[in-house]
Amino acid sequence: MANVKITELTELSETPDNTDLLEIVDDVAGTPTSKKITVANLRGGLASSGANLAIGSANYKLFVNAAGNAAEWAKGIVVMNVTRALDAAAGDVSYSGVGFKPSSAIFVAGLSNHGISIGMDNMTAKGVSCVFAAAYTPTNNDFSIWIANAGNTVYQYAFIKSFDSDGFTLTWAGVGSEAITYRIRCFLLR
Amino acid sequence: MDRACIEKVTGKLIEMQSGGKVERLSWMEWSLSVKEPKDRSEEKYQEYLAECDALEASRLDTLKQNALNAGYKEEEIEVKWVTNEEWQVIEATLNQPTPEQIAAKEKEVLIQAKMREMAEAELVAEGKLVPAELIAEGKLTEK
Repeated sequence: MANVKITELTELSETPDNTDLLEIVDDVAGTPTSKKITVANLRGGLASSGANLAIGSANYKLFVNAAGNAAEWAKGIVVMNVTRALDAAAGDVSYSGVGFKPSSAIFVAGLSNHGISIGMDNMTAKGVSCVFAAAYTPTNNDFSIWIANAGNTVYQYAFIKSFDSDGFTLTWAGVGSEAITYRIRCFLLR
Repeated sequence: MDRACIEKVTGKLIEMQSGGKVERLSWMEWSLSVKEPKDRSEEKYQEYLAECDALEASRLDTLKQNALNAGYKEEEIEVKWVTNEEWQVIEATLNQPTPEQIAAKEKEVLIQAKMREMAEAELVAEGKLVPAELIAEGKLTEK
């Protein structure tokens, strides 16, 4: 078989076994050396890069995993509900249970006879638009959530401080205190 | 299951966050998700289940830490998992008027009734209004 070009060899016209061998050039950037490699090891390398990832659940999407070293199938979208009391202290509040590190969020906060706010936040761009009682309609590009009492004399607002491995952290601030509680619907995207 | 943080003395809801429970894979589902055959062992599966337990505990602890950061003391609060039915019971207690607000509302209604009564009496005295009781008895008709 000496002095025969690879293009002149007989073709293996079927799926190779894991024990079959291929030629590979190792350490291309340093000291290139021709070596053999089993198909099994080659397949293992492809699998870890995601190229040979087994099919996932229906309607799942392909993501790079949290460690950044492999691909994985996941939903990448979560809806969660949280509450916020208008007498809660200002400061950072963590929210967990998302199951992934989000990259963007949509918030809808509402309370009957008080009003609603709709906001979006990806830490780079954010904003909120609101309709509250007594024609109080703040619009703001510094926050993504805004809640207020019926008289609009007490209000709180928040923006995303960080996206975390299992959720996010909001920084809350505001004016006044009243014992009413808003429901906030959070739509989180990976 | 959702997570709730309650102030023990008053029963007041401090915070609720939905979800947080981990859907544990069966042995078969879990073993299919493991790439390396050598890692498909009972020991590794138990490690996976322990990680699920730790993640759930961590998610519940989120609400506790939030309450502590807001100034509550650990002995003042209770953090727990709540079913949908339990959450509906808690939610029904939210945003109810306080005794002070109820008293103020009742006072406002009484004042409005008294003012209406005084205004009507004034109009009757001026002959601009027929007393309602006389109309009801059929003795007089509305002007």
